[in-house]
Amino acid sequence: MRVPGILYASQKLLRSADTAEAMKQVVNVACLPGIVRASLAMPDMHWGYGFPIGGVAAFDLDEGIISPGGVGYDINCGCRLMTTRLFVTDIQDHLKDLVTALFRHVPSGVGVGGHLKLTAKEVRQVLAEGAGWAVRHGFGETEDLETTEDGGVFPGADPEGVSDAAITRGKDQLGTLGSGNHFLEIEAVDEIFDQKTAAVFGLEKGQICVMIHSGSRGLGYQICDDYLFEMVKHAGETGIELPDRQLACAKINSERGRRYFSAMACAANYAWANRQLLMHEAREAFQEALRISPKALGMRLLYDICHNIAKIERFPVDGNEMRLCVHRKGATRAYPAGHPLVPARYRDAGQPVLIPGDMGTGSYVLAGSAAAMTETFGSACHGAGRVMSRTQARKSSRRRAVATEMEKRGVIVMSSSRGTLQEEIPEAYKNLDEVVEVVHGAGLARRVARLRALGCVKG
Amino acid sequence: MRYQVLDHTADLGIDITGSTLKSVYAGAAKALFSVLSDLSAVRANEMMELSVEGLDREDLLVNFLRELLNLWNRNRFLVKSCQILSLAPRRLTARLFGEPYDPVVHRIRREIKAVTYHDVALVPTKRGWKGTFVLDV
Repeated sequence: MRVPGILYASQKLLRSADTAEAMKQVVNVACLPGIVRASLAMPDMHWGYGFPIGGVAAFDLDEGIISPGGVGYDINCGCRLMTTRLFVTDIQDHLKDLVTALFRHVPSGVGVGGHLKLTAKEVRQVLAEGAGWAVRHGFGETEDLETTEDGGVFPGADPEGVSDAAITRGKDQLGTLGSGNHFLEIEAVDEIFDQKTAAVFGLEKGQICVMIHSGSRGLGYQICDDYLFEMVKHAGETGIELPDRQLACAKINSERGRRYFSAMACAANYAWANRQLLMHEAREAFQEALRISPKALGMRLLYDICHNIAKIERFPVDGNEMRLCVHRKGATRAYPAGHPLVPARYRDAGQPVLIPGDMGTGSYVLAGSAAAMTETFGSACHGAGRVMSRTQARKSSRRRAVATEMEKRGVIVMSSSRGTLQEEIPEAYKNLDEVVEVVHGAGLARRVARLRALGCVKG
Repeated sequence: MRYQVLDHTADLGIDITGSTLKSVYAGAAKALFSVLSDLSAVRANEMMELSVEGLDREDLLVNFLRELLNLWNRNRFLVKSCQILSLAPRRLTARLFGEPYDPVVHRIRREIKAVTYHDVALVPTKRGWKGTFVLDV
């Protein structure tokens, strides 16, 4: 190990999950060249492939590496939270209609195409422009970009490094949710922990919000796969010993490293455009189901955050400011108040950190804190984190009507796949409150509000 | 050939056992498509051949499965069965039987994001060979 491994956890979380495999992965990452200070794991850490999920690692730009497996297949998978002018009382009698309208408007599930069919040229424009492309084509407002991480566009995205196969996969998937753990959820603000920051974020008790969790779809998977293949093939040339081929990497300053970085940026832009379109589709579904005007709905983007990415960012290391390549695989940015990359609207409060829970549990909104800059390269956790494998979850829910169970708990769930619901049962995940407690207690991000789920569309 | 789905927290691990290495590669192809779709509804109407290379046996297995997944992602082709025509440590040629996806006839069980290199293994056993691979789902 070149650096130590540091895990943020509580006794309770450590008892609730078997961490042995994920800890091995933390150790593997700590052995990679150019890693700075520590291989980190957030409290939602669990066994992934290559890097652990919930892992954060920063690399020196001269000596360090960039790894497609350290970002993940779903490049810029992330969350987007929208606020509305509605309150629980406005929708409680129409909840089923609303979830049905969302299910109809927002394409979800395996192999389901989107409403848009793009040409290869248009896909390349999306890859270069990100969420701005969607706004330019009428799917949202300019102010949405102000509250999207990095303005919804990753600089240096060059579609030249993206294969034709990836472009083809991107043609009909823009504005689609996908499957597995991706979702769109109607939530209500249930508890406010920090009144002042909640007001800055535009949150109040009882207010209806919408959370979207999706990423770069097949285009991102293909880019990761293309570059992993290439890096494994040429692994011998780098002289880097790999305990697991999934950790295949290239020097950040090498031609191959730079090409991957640029292609990854393209996928990040596709994901931002995708979530922008999903927001537009959600807006239309709300207006149709409730028969209200855009003004009455007042859907605004609180924030859009990515949790599978590698970025070049500045951090203090041993008293000096360094530019580093930070990998966040199942981890989010958590910049504190005053940071220049926090949107102007939130600069005095800190960057919103969005942490979705398991199906039907709801989510947390936190605000980035100063300790994250010195301890975790400006990062916090990204969700609850799985404790149960998908096979275990299916077994334990075999004879259960999951959707009916959720309805009894007051959550309307719709999915195109019964299997997805079984795999995503709440018990398959860690306790979200506990995960957030660790992040809050460690001073990485502070609790602002807790949202409870009312309706959910699963892929 | 037999295959079994393993417990892997976020992803899907598959174990395949077979009397020969060839049968494990062929079994891996079938397991991949069984995860993706209900193969009882897929007919072996069309045949195609596929040649793949790799750095070693394990890399060859990953590349073979990647190419098969590409057949689905790019051509919407479902493989029902597979026959390994030739196998060397770094190259194989397979004959695939299946048919193009028809949404009326075929049910897609789940999206497979990718075939990973994580924990991939091919080991000799008392009765033949065992292969392991992990899918990102």
